[in-house]
Amino acid sequence: MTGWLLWSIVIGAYAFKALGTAFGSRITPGQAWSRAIRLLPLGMLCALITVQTLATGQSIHPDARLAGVAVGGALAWRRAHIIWVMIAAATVTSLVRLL
Amino acid sequence: MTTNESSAADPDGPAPGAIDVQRRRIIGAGMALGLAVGVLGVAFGVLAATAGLPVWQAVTLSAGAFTGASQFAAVSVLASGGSGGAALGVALLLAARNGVYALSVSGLFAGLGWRRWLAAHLVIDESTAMANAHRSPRLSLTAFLATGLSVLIFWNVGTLIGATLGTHLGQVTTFGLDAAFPAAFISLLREGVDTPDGRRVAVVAVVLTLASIPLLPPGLPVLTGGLGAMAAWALTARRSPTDNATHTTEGIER
Repeated sequence: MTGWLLWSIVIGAYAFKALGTAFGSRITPGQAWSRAIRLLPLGMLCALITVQTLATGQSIHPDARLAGVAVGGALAWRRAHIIWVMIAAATVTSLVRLL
Repeated sequence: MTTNESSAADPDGPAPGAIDVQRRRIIGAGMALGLAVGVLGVAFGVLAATAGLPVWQAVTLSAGAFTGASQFAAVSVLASGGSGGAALGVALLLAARNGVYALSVSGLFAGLGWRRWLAAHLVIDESTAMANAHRSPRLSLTAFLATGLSVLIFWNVGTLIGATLGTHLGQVTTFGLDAAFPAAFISLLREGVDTPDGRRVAVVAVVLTLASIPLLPPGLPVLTGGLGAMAAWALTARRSPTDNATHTTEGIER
């Protein structure tokens, strides 16, 4: 990896975080915006869950991950501890892959 | 926002002992997430080594960029013979979502002064999800910092191990770890999705993401899904009669 590429990724990645922090700090709780902004992580993480569970590159490709996330998600819904949720999801996925 | 959760998590409400128990539980969950990310860090280190990156470059990425998806994508592009420009493009697209997280999470940094710029470095999927799972700003900040620091440390130790042993370790399979993270995020979103607003945002986000995965390059579907769901909520909420009520409770809570 060339030096310019390495440092462009490092600086670029931090720049996004810093920009979000700079703009986010200006939003005061009273503003109409603030409630929409509070729902933002929920939407982003639901989108992320979808991608991590179903996407392979640019195609939707249900595989062993879906089984693991389904079992982990069911446990999460029944308020199991996050550690058990992760262990169950990983175990089921690796077992399905072994089959 | 469930009232029983917000009062239970209110920093001025319950006895100090209850807060300590909650704190310990939060830090435990943060450590668990960090450990899992550490295993993934070993996998990243091995990938970096096989792609020909020296150890210092792999660790510089993990400590300096500190955004797993971008790092995996950039190194994979190089390993498969792609150009530096393509690697940078996909890395930045995937890193952009941290900026969106920061918009929301940075509300917790108010009391940190200049150190908010250090806290900003910890804005990633795991720390945002943990912060978002708590209503009280103080517990949210604890969850954010504990998870961010734990993931930063484990991710880098993992990278160092993987990059150093690299070729000796051979092929590291991720043991279904790729499914552990989405499941963990479901666990952290459980309370948020259990509100009418949360349900609407969640459903729209999933549908928009599914629609954009085949159409857009990796990195963008998460942004279009998340931002699109928020925009759809904001546009429809303006006409909803319950909007005023939710606004006032939110003002008090903060």
